[in-house]
Amino acid sequence: MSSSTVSVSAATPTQHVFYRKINEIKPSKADINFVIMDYLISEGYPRAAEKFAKEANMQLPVEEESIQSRVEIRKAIYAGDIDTAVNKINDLNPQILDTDPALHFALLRLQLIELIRTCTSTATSDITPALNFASSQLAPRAATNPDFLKDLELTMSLLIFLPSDNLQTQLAELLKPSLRRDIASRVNEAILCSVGARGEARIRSLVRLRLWAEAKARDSGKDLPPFIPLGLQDADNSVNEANGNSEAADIMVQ
Amino acid sequence: MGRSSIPPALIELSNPSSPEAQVNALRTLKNEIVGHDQRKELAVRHGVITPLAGLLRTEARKGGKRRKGVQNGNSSSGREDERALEWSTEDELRLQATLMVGSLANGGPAFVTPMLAGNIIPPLLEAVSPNETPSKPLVATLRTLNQIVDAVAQEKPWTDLSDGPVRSSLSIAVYEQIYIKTVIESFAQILAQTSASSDVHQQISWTAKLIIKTCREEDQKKLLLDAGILDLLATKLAAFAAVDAHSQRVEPRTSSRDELPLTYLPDILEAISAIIRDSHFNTARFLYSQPIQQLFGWPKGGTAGPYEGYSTTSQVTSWDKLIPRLQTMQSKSDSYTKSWPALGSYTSAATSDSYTRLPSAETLQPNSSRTIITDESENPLFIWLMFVARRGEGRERLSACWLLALLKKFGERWPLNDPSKTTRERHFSYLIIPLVVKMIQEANPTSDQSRKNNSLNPRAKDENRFILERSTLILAELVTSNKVLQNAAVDAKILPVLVQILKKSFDPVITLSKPLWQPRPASPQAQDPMVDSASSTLGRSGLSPEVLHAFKYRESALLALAAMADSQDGLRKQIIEIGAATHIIDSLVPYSEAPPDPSSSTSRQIPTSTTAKDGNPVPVLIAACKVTRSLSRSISVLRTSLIDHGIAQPSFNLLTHPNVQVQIAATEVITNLVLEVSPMRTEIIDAGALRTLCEHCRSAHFDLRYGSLWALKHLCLGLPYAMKIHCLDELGVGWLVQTLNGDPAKTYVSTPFGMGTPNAVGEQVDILNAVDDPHMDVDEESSSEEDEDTMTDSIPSVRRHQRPGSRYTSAANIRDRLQQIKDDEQDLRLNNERDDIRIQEQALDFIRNFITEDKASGEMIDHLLKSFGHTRFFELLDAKIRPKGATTQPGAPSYWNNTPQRTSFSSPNLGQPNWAAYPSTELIIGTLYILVHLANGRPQHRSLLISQTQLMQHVLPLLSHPRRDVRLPCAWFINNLVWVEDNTDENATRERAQSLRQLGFEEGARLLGRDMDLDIRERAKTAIEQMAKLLGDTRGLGYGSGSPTFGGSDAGGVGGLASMGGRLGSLHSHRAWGRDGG
Repeated sequence: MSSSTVSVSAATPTQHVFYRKINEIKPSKADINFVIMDYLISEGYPRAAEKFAKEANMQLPVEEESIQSRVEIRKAIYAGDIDTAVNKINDLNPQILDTDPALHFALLRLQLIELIRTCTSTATSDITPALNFASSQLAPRAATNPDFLKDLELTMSLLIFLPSDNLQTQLAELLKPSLRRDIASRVNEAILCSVGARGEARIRSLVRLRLWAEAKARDSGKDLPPFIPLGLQDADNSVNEANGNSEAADIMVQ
Repeated sequence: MGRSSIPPALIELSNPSSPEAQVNALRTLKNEIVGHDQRKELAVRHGVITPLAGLLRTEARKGGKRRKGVQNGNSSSGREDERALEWSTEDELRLQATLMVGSLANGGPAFVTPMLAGNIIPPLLEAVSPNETPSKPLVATLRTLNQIVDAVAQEKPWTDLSDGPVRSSLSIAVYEQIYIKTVIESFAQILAQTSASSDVHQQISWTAKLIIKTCREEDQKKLLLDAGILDLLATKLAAFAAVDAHSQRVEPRTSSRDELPLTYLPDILEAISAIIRDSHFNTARFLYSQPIQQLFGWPKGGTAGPYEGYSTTSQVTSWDKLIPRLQTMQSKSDSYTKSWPALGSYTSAATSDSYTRLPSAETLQPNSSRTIITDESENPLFIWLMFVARRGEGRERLSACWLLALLKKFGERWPLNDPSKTTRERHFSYLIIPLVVKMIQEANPTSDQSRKNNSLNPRAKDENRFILERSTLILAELVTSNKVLQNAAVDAKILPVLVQILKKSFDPVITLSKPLWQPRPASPQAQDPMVDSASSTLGRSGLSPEVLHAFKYRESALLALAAMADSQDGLRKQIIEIGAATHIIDSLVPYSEAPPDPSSSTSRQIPTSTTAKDGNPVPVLIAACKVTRSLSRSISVLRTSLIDHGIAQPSFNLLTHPNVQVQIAATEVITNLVLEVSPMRTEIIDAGALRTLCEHCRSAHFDLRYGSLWALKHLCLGLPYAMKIHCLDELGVGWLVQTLNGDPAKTYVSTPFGMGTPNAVGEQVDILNAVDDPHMDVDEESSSEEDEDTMTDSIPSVRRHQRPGSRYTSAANIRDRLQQIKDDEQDLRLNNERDDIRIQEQALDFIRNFITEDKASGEMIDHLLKSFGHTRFFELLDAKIRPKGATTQPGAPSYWNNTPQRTSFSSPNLGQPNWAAYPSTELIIGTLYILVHLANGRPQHRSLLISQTQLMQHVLPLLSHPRRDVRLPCAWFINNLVWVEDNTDENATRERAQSLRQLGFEEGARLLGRDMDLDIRERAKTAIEQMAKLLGDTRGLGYGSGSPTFGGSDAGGVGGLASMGGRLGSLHSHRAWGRDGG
């Protein structure tokens, strides 16, 4: 928000001129509230949005149920219950998956990973369900796109290596919660787009804008403090981490 | 898992054990088929359509009754109750069934065929009612309908009937079901909702999208208009605009109930554009609709009252601030002062009386050529749309530009309170054209930007495709016959981009939809005898979206090139230089009928070899013809690149294309290719164009008849005698007579012409008309306004000054204005008359070119007179130059009463010409030129002409016609009549001169000798001198004798005449050439 590039450089010993400039800017409360509300709704935090609306004395801009369905889907994906998630997406709007084969494939692959995970969790278990699922659901689609095929092959190789504590990074990636989080956010975006809303929260583009502006300013040699924190988290975590909400993180811990 | 679950689910579906089990079966089935075309196919084969249709039908009925009961019970807060109403299993069943249909439709047009057979669409449409269907299922239903319409759009475009509409059978069937009164009224109800809930917003958006995708034809538009949908959309648009108007001011704003989130603006703009496109009347309905008038109201004093919570009075001024201010340099010299030089016209004679009745040049333009800088504003609606285009991106910008382009076109035909042409052009060339060009550049499939976009999600990809298809079309619409905007686009370096895009469209399409792999090879399944076969058989698969997209943007790029090239030779050459010709020729190749339909439906997917190179569907052919026509207007291009690329053969082949619209477009190309200057003329004649064109002259389709006759007219000029005679025989004297008589009853009964016939107004027709309109308007202007006031007709600038003067503010004024526009567009009689006049004009011109000869031997005249018969021929001509009905109206008030010279005329016919009673001026001119040519024949012909007393008497009043174009041929006519062929002819000529004097032509010639037009004066003076010499007195020498230029020597006369024959020929061909030159 406060991404103005500063060119005046009247040096002050105590505080960098950049911060003084920042302090001079008084962003409108309503704007900030709007951005927060937008984030809560886009990312699907209905109860927080509700409380925030009360606190900030503003109206909830959308019906709660429209957020609720997205929350349920996200929870299902986080929990690895892809079948439920797909069902719910299709209940909402079958067109989403019908017209986005890549997303559909990603979801099905996630489901396959879960199947493999359960199949291989005990030494004696049967891997037939995983094989059946792969041949009936994923294999037909894999033929349509070389990328799909590569992904499928990689996933299937999990069957060979699991259980193992020492996986290649490529394979280990597949088992990480971040894959679920990633796909959940893609699903969330697709649903938002399908109802004509913006796919992502505005704050994300604002953060990108700020990073871009900072890079631009440094490139052109403006007088900036050596490090400007984002102020969203304690440390300088990446932008992606910035939206890791505690509630979500809890679920993702298996 | 997998495929095995489909049959059991189907059994459960058709024979439900319980509603809950049925819901579950449906849901399972839906999850099975989503994103899996093979399973969709399997489901259809096992007969899923029939139970689905059954479900939708019964549930719709039940649901409807239930809701109605609730509504009637407590009407006050029906909506709230509805939501609170318990979500029953039946509701769920219907929702699932609806979603399932939508998912099936995503499979493409092949799935729509069984749906139509299974009658699944009517129950869906029944559910489209905000009063009877709860919000969620309603959204789902609208979405499903959109999916069906999308699927239908993928149908192969070339499954056309020969003269049928360009669109295909499936879409007709689907559209027919949608465009019925009850459904459209439900649409209106949906659009009228003002709730702020996002479900309602989505309903509105989907409904608008449905309109955008389906609304093409006149009768569809009429249905939408009758249901008030245009007004509702205008209300929504005004609500959007009001927000921006208020953002200019500080005071707080009460938000309007109609306000929608900004994401829906493109839907609204496009829906409006879809309805008003190709119809001036619909455009006027939009512009004069209440919400638009109130918000963007032109009356600057603030007569508008408060509207929906905001008042309009104070914001009138704020519009200007939305866009940068542009100053307009205006040269104040205009065509009026140029074509009517003040010199002489006021001093010379009383003839100019007629002109003083009009606002004179002096009063209109006090300082006739001075460059001044004005600061004129655009019309507020335009300003706002420009603002939206500049602010938004993607579809928002696109839709605003599109609507602007359509409104601009309307403004050219029916100027409203528009700014001057310069101001408008300046705004468009500085604010809009660069945006459009930028959009095209970014959408250009070969650009980096667009490659980046391709990696985006499917929605963004779709949007990018749409931008590519539409942005070039917008450019075409904007620059058509407007040199300023063409130059603005060229300055932005658009031409290479357009050619690149065109070239790219021929690249082999990488089909993304490879077939799914099957674990087991599909065994040909025996058809289940229990299953209804019609609704379980897939239809023909459509084209892949990629190929369709290539066709679409090829068409748009061609149209844009055609528009860019339509009036400037330099641009035509540039287009050729950057290598467009090859691609244009490729675009002229029609799609040859498909290789046998792949019968095994498992290989439904389009073989990758179906690239865009295999030929072109009808719309592309038409667009290619247009660009060829534009380019062929340049003689140098015609003589170099076009002949090098062999344009003649493909164009000629299209003359016999099964689709009549293609025939028309091809005829227009041929018209330019058969001109005398064209090197391809012989090639085309040898290929047999003459016969084809003559056949087409008898077509039931007016445009084809008209175009063919026009082409023949060009063809006929300069042909060898034998060919000419052959041409006349082929065409048939009887046909010509019939056409010239303009027997309305006969022509119209046999013509399936009319607004309502789907044949006449298919989608492609509209595109055709859209581009042709400006040219046609030229004709319309003169003929349609004749009744009002012929006098102003000749001076365009005068009319221009009068029009904006009358502001259409009051309701009554608006009604009159709308009626006027409506009549002009829709009145069948007016349009038929107009068409009749147009084709008669061509017929007259044909005759004129027929008798035009290099050496005036008179052979063709003889032949013509023989084939027609003297009496019949002269009667025909006479009919075109005498007032309709009674020949004279003695005592009627006239412009001429106060002219002293009038009294000296001997003929009673000269009394009071009432020009309104005359046939169209174009026809008079055409006839007069025939007479001029006849008089240019052998001496006998001249005598013959003079002996047609009645005809001659009808020519006489025309000498004082207000239009120069009429008086000029009159002067030539007299001149030719008194021409002495050789010594032996002198006596005969003297007699002729005598007769002419008796008829009153001597006096007439004197009148012309005082004409304000130099050309006419000169001609007339020669005639006067000649006559005076022949008649042996000096009466006529008053003007000419003093002047050495008109020495009256025979030699001079010969020169004059000889040059005249040639001159008229070239004059005419030039004029004909100018037809397309616009």
